[in-house]
Amino acid sequence: MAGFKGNNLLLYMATSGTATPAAEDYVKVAALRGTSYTINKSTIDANNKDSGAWNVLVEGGGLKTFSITADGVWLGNNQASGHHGRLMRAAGFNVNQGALVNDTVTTHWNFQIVDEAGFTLTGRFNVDSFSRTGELNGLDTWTITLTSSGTVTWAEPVAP
Amino acid sequence: MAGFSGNKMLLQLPATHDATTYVTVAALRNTSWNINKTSIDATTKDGNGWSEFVEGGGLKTVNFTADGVWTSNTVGLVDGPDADTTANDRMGHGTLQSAAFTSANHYNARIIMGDGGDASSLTGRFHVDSLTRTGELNGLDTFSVTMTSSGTVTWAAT
Repeated sequence: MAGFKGNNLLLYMATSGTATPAAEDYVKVAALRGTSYTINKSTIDANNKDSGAWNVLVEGGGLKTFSITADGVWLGNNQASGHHGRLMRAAGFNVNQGALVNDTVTTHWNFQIVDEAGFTLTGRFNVDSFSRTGELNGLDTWTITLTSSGTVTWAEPVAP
Repeated sequence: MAGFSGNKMLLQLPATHDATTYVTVAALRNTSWNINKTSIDATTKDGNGWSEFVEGGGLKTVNFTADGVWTSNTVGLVDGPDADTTANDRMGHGTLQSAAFTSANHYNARIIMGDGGDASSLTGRFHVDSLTRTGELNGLDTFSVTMTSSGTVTWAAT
């Protein structure tokens, strides 16, 4: 095995802001360039005068937070799921353009990371930041940063 | 679909702080914006080791940033690329200077972006956080501006 391609680490988003979308209700975000995730797990220091000169941390302590960053090419205001108009909605713009599905406006939104083997990481996220940039003689691009709220689930591919 | 040119993303200002006729700032180079949404921590001992945040909590703030070439001290309109066409007028950089210098009020501002059926705009009332002007040795006289929203920012088709 020569490794997975970076092009196959993908960000998916739920088709609506509902808290419990079904597995099939995730759609790939269009025109991605970079995708990455980080899980941070904090520690609880348990050093004491009996622990000698070695650092000691509480077993099973600490807090887990899952962050996702992604960027890509802006393709338009389309509000269908996976299109960038829907990312604007997840970011907190209350918009009502075109043939928009009138879903519940929530502050959190379900997102999912899928890798080349089909494994998924799924959770509910706050859109910490969404940016769009137009550079001189460059492309109109966007970036998004997400932080999890609650459990993030790591799952094997669902058999077809 | 091949995407859009970054040159279509433009910062626009009115000639006075509360006017609503928006004109593109002269001689822009780069333009960008972002929305930040804060969280309210709601982590408890029942969360099974995962951090949790209040659904529906938090605060939204939009920032505008732009930079370009300083071409005029005029407060208000200056000639654009086509001097004979008022439709091509631009907002002089004196307007940015006066928006940064005033201690009386915020300024209406807008960013337009995209093209054709995918053109859209973000419009709101903004505080000018900083205006920088730089003259480098054997370089150009350039500016950069950063603005932070106060109140609702509206995303709309232009």
